[in-house]
This record gives sequence, C-alpha cells and structure tokens, in this order.
Amino acid sequence: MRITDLQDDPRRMNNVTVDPDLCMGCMKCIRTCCYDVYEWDPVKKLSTAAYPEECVSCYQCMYFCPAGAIKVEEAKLAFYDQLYDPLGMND
Amino acid sequence: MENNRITYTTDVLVVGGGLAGAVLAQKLHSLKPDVKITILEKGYFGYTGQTTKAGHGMCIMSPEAGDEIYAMCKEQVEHNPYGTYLNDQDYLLEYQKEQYTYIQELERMGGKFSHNPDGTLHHHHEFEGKKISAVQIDVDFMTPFCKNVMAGGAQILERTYFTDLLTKDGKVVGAVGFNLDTTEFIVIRAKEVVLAMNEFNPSCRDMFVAPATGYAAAYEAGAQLRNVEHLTEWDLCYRNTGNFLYGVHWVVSNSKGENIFRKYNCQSLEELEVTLIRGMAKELEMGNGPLVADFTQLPKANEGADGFFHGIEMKQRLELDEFIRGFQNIDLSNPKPEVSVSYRVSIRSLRIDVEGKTTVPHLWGIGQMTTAGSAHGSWVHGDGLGVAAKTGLMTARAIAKRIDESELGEIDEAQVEKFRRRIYEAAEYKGEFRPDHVIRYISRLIKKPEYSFNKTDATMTELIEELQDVRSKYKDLIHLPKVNGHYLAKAIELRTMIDMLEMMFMVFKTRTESRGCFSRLDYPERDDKHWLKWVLVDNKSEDGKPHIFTERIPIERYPFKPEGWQEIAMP
Repeated sequence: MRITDLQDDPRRMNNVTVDPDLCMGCMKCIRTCCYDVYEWDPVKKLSTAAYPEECVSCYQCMYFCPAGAIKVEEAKLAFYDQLYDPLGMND
Repeated sequence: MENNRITYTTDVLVVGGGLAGAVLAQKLHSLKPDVKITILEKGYFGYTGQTTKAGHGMCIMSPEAGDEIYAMCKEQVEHNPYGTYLNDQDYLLEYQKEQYTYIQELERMGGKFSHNPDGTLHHHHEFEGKKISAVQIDVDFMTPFCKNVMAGGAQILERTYFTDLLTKDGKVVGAVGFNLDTTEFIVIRAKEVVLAMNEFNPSCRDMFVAPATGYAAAYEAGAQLRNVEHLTEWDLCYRNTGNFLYGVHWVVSNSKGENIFRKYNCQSLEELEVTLIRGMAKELEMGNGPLVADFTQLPKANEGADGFFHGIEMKQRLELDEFIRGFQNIDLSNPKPEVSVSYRVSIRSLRIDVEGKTTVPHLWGIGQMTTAGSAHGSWVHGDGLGVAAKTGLMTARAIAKRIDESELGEIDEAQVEKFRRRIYEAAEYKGEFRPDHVIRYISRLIKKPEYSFNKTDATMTELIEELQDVRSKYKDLIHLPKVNGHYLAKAIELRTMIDMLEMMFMVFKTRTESRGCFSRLDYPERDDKHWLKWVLVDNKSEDGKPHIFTERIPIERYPFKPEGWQEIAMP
C-alpha cells in the first residue's frame, strides 16, 4: 500500500452541501440518510453535511427536504471503473 | 468521550430495524404478546433499510402459474447463476410453498401492494419465460409495520450501532454496541438474538454498500458462514457516473458497431456473464473502445406493457425516480451512452436452516444477510424485500414456539470489557488518514480485474497478503478527526472489512472451479464431480485463522439433480 493510494480522487466523490440560510432544522435529511452523511449542529440548530464522502447518490435527503436547502452534486466519474481505469483511460 | 455503560434486558433482541426486523417483530408480537422485543437500529426506525431506497417489488408465484411449484424450483436450481445446484433444496421447497400466501399475510398486517382498478393484486412477469412474477410496492411500504411494532410496545433503540455478540458456553446471551450520538456503551442481555441486517458489500459509493460488522460478530460468536463465494455479481453502468443500467447488457457494442454479447457467444439476458465482462475488457485492450449501450438495437417498447414502474399506487416511487433522473449527469436523450461495468460483492452467507436458526444456540438470522447462507433456498435476483419479509414471518413463528422454554443467560463480564475496549481503542490512533480513506482504498483494490473477473490462485494469494499488510499497518495510518460515533463506527467497519475480505478470498481460493457468477481464470469450467459441495467457514480452528471446510450436498435425496449425479452422489 502506497500513501498516494489512500488519497481520494475528487472527480470521483460527490459534493453535498446544506444551505444554512434555507435549512429550517427539521432533521428530515438526518433521518432519511442511511449512510450518516448529515450531522446536527446543536449550536446553530441546523443540519450540516458533515460526511459527504459517504454519499451514495440516493437523493432521498434532497427529495424530502421541505426547504430545498440540500444540494447533491454527483461525481464526474465512476468511483472505480473496472474496465477503463486499469488501462489508464480515465486519467 | 462518554462511554458510560447502559444495560438493557429483553426477551428477543432484533438487530436491524429494516423490513425483515419490523415484520418479524410485528408477527412475533401478534403470536406472543407478552414477549418483550427490543430492536437495535443504527439510523432511525422506519427510515433506513433497503425498502425505503432500492426496493421496488417482491417476487410471488402468481395464482395463474397454478401448482407448478416444482417447475419454478427447477428453474431456481438449474438456471440460477448464483450457486447453480448448490441449493439446499429442502429449504427451497419449504420456502416456495407459501409463495403467494405470504403476500396476503403481509397485506393483513398492514402492507400495501399495487392493485388493479378492479381490486385484484397487480403482478407482472419480471423475467421472460419464467414462472415467477413480481408485485409492486412503494417507498413507504415499511411504515405500517413500524407503526404496528411501536404500538405493540417494542423497545426501539435508535442510533445504536451493534458491534458484537455476547456468548457464554457457546450460546448467545446478548449483544453490545454503542450510541452513535452520545458514544455511550450499550449492553443488552437477551434470551434470543435475531440478526436482521444487510449483506456485506464493500463497494464504496454504491447504493448497496454495507459494512461487515454483522458477519464478523456472528463469525466470532461461532456461527458458520456458507456460500461466501456465491454472490458476486456484475452490473452494467454508465461510464461517467457509475449509475446502473439494467436489462440492456445484450446491446453493448464496440466502436465498430459490433455487438459484444453476440461476438462472445453470451447466453443470459438476465445476468452479466463473465464471458461478456472479459469480452468487454478485451475489446478495450484491442482499442475498439469506447463501449456503448446501443439502444437502437432494442426492440421498440410495447406501449402499455407491464414494466417495473407502471404506477398503480406507486406515486412516490415514480416521483422520486423522476426527481433523481433530473440530477444525474446522464443524457437520457443519447441513444448510445458510454458504458462500463460495476463489480458487486454481496456476502449474504450466514448459515441458517428453514426456521432461521444459525449454527449457534439462541442466534437467528433473517433477510438479506442469509440469502446465500440458506444455500439459495430463497433468493431470486431482485427479491431482497420478498426474502426479508418472508423469512421474518417464518422465523417469528419458530421463535414463538421456543421462547417459553428459553432462559436468560449470564453474561461474561471479561468478554464485555474486551468488546468495550475494542470499540473505543480507535480514539487513540495517531495516523495521518481517516478510516474511510483506507476503506475506499480496499474497495478499489478488490475490484481490479486480476482480483475480480480474472482472479487466479496466484493473484488471490497476493491480495490476501496485501490485506494482511493493511491489517498490520492501519492502526498507525489512521486517526479519528473527531472522536464521535461516526468515526468510531468507521474504524470498526474497517477492521471487520479486512477480516471478512480475507476470509472471502480464502474461500474463493478453496473452490477450484467456476460456477455461475463465481468465476476463476485458472479453473474456467464447472466441476460437478468435485464441487457439488458447500464451502463453510467458522472460527473453530486452533490457530485463530478462519477454519474452511466443505460439506457434501445430499444431492441423491433432492428432486433436482445435475447430469451424471449417480456418479457424483455414490462414487
């Protein structure tokens, strides 16, 4: 294992954000996310996308958010592409 | 860090609050109202599990198929690429007997299915030319069961992460875990423990990714795992996003317009065979890429035909689908999108009998985590929720029969302390990376061609050595950015992932043949003569390594047999 192997390729990761101006703290995203992407901020009384690396693009949080505060930006590339990656065709 | 201990006592502990756990709890309460039930759920009860995300239907044997149960079971045994002929056919026949009535029972319990305008149950043929049909459900299918479970007085411990099973004299006497929000240590004493968790799927950023914690706990408690090698599968996906495309792998073409499915003599319209995967890889190596799914080769859609999402009482599901499509980076108007493949390792290997009993006293298994462990007694591709609900019902009846004689066992405090230390030890790690970095590294590693579709004895040995190397180093490589429930859980998931994958590749090496979706480059043929056997794993060896052994399948007393079975059964 090389240290460089442990670094994530940002093209392959989702970007998840919660707009603090729109979030009204209903906690629906925290409840619907099966992968623990969101965390409750007890000071601001809002939800935060604390662990976006866990996102699997199920879009449930975004769908159920009543305030439209959540944005899930899908990765540009598949997480690991068995056919193209070994040939260096995604580099 | 708070790790105060809270101890609970219950009659039946259900680990996992998905559909299987909820159906089991409701049914058990209706049969035995005095039994105290506790459900452990790492998320929020009613919100988590595959039912709310991926599930679209459940398989049934429709009334029109009549009494052709044998024909359907024959299909399952002979054509199922997941462990062809490796079924426990006793289980299979018992399971399929109630293939229609279980839907009626779920409906009586509060479940909602698609109905035709005239009130009859709607079902459609999911697989062309097969006996099996599917009924459809919506994304809120689990809600009535969860409400009924809570109304029945079950204790629900939400945000509680299960980690280990407590044993005494070879029997399961409870479980431990911790609260994800407060990190409090939780000990539960129980007469019977039911594991109702997901499969182990190490594919990061995949909708079906799931940790190995449940299997690692069951294995450590002494339970046998069966058919670890028989649920790896391939899906076609869009090259850019990795999102799945179902049912169109037979129109994949290269840049010259040649159909890969025909070029490499593939047969199955349902599953991606390894010949297709190897063919696709070869085409790319020869410079015939990119590969596209050529939709112009598909027959024109038949308007009004039965499909997955025709929409009777499935409003939320349809709305959600449309919503998702609006955000994915997929151009739906492109008739020839670029495609690749996605390797999915789904370990569902907790060995159970037809009642759901594992090989350890007082430990039961239901749902997704047992579909290969029951020796494919139940599973049809796409029927995860059907298996969850049905095994939940079957096991609830079995527990109800036994719970009166069952007694609470004493817990071993030394063992509790050992598990407690193991949960919180990650807080002391001082490395540079996060646990999920290493998890993603391993997830990428096992998907490489030489470890997936082109695996051989030599490459698997190399991979096992690499996993052992990671195991020896990871504690120095990682730290927890915050000592909270999330990262503690990730550290546990990393540890159990390494253990389970090592075990998995040891089993892969043991089976020196290819069978269905399990394929090796060095042993490309199916070998019924030597491998009509189950490969089993448990922890009963003296050196602490996984104990791998085989068990002969009693094929001579089963109704469905491969050609030349006499020679195999009675050498």
